[in-house]
Amino acid sequence: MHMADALVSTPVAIVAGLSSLALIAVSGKEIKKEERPNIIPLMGVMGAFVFAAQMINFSIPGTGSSGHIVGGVLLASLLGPWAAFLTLVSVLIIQCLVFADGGLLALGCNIVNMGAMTCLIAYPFIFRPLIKFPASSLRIILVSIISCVIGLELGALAVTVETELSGVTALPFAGFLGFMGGIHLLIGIGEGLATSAVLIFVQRARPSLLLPYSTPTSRKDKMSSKGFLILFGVLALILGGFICFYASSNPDGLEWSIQKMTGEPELSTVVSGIAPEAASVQDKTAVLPDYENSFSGILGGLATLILVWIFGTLVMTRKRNRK
Amino acid sequence: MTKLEKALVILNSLETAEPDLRISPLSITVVIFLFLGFMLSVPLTNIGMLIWFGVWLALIAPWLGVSFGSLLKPAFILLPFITLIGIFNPLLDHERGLVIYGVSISKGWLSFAGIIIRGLLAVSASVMLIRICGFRGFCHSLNHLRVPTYLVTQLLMVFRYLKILLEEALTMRQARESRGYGKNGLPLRDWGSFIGALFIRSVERSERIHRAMLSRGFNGKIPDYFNMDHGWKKSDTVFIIFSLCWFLTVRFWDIIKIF
Amino acid sequence: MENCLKFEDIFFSYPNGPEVLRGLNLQIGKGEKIALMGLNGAGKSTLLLMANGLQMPDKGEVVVCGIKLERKVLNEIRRLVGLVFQNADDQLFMPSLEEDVAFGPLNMNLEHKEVERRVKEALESVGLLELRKRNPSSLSGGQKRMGAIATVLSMRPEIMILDEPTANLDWRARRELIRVLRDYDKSLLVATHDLTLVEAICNRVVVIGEGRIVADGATPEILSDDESRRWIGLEG
Repeated sequence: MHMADALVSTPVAIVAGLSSLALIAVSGKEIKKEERPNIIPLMGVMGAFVFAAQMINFSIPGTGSSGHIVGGVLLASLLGPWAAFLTLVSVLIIQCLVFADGGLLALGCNIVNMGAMTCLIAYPFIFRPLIKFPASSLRIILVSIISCVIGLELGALAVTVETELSGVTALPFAGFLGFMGGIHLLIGIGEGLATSAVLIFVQRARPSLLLPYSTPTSRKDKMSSKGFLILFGVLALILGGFICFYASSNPDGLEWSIQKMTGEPELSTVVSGIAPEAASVQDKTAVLPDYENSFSGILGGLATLILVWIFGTLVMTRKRNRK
Repeated sequence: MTKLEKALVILNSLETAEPDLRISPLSITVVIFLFLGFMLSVPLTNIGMLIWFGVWLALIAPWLGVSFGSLLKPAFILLPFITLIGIFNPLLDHERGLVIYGVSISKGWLSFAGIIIRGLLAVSASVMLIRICGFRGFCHSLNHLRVPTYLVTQLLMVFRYLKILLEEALTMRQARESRGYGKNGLPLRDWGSFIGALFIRSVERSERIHRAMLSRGFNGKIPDYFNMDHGWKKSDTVFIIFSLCWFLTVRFWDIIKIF
Repeated sequence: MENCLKFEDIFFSYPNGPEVLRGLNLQIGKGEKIALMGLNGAGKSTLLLMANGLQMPDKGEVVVCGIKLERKVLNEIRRLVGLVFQNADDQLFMPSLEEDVAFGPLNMNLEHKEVERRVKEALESVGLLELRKRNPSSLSGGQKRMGAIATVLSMRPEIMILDEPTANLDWRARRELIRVLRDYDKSLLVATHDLTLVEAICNRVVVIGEGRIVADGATPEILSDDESRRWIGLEG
């Protein structure tokens, strides 16, 4: 469920980006308290593992198609929520920059949707309370499915909200939400089955790798609670930010304030409803939209682009031939 | 070629290039961040403005030794997906946006084009960044920009062991396939033991790495990256100033026009 | 001759496992180059891990250059004992070769200039100086092995210990390795099955069997002695 760059507007990207940064900062502090001495190379190698695991598909029973795992809950059951979160963050960054998979603009959103929802919410609040290792295979399967479905549904909800608030697409909110929700229910079940398949294997082969839950009052639990308080704070911020943007519902905040400065015709400031309606209201009240698209402007830009491109290619081939 | 093999090809191509840099990785990192920031803030229907950002990219790329066309290639792979989402705009948004010789183009189509252009530019910019600096150079720039060490270390380590793990996964999968599994993914239980085995081997590898670290005096903190001065040259300052002026001019052209 | 590494009456078993080392005694003098041979499972790797404190013995003492092995002196011990593991990829974990080689000296809190000097020296002695900025993933097997050795050389240990250094190397890389180890001027302990290597650089062979040293002497004698050859696995 990588979000494409194309769908994200600046305000949403900024809010998501700041939230990601806050969560990354918290995870840094929490990881310092890690008792496991090999946590640094462990996170590094596990990051590479997630990559590899995401590229091997499993067949989805009954359909004839295949799917792959995201791995949030699986990672968290080995590394704990914060280390797993940081690992997934590093995976997302590398996927984005090195493999051009999931855009840079949407990175903040992806980190929140795929990283935070699974590692920081689904795992600690659903998976961990329900499972104590060693556990029966059936229990592992059921709890994995529930956690993954909830984690992915939350992610899907977040994607929908972010897309709508970006005002980039004209998709109707309810329709998009229903679509995303439905699909991610199925994806969540698949992820849950896959996660449990690995956990059952690991429990048989090297059970000591899975985080022990037998001492709920252990130091680790107490230390994480401060982290979770911060997490709740950040979540509240995110929600608050979204609500603010929703209320103002003006995706082109920058343009709007510039218009105010230059004294162009006023736009109605409080517009309820989603983007296309907002756009049409702007249109009706503006005599000449300040950001006019004169056709010649576009043509000029395109022409220059092509000229520069040709020039650049010529220069490069000349350099190459000279070598 | 499967996802796995494609990924390995990309990784291998990154290794060969030791780019002869006219500018330091730090300045290109900063400039690309600026590029993305400014470009993101352009309203979607203002295609002209977006294209002028593209012109900057087309201008800078060959100067830095990368062909503009090669940057667009990976971006085009994303095109179908973006189109799928963006196509709703022209269908639902019929407000008049532009009139060319009496033919009216709806805002929906404009924003659709805007989505596509923006997507292409964003991907091209990040591809260029890594292509020019190399991943290590990029991470070291992050270090100079005061990004916390634990994150930079994590990125570098994942990148270091990525190829090894992908190759392990490839070997294991080829072994499975030669025993008769089809292309539609492994059956769940086999997938579970496959990935589970990879999981365990990865943990054991990390334990061996840790032992090597301890043997060389590791005490919990990776020492400061060594010998990586950012190598700032005159051309860096020129580059930043030029790019910043470009971005500001293009972005605020509408205001500048007024004066 | 002064001792640089001494194992005194070492006993060790893994949790829930059989006894791996039972009463092992071994002394290595300064400047000696010793081959440690024996069948797999005889306890070679475990013994090597004890040399720098990655594994502590259940009973007995390990003494490095006169310092008794204890948790509180681990840093110093690791400065004196350089351990090169079997898998080079596990030891080259930094993004470039020079950073890996610098890792040890930096952890020793040396001055930057000194670190730089040692990095250059170490890379030069293994012939990898031009590759210093390369990512280890892009190196060949032989280069990685040399790189791993360089990461230890830069710490200037009193004794360098290698675990199966010629495994998976082609002949050219093997020759290069032999050259480097022959030129090395401090003590050397090499756990190996490779007879060519042993004959080329080691003047003394120590054979481990059933958790103890069962043979110890000059290379030509040990390698021609039937009993020792049986312990090494060359016969019977």
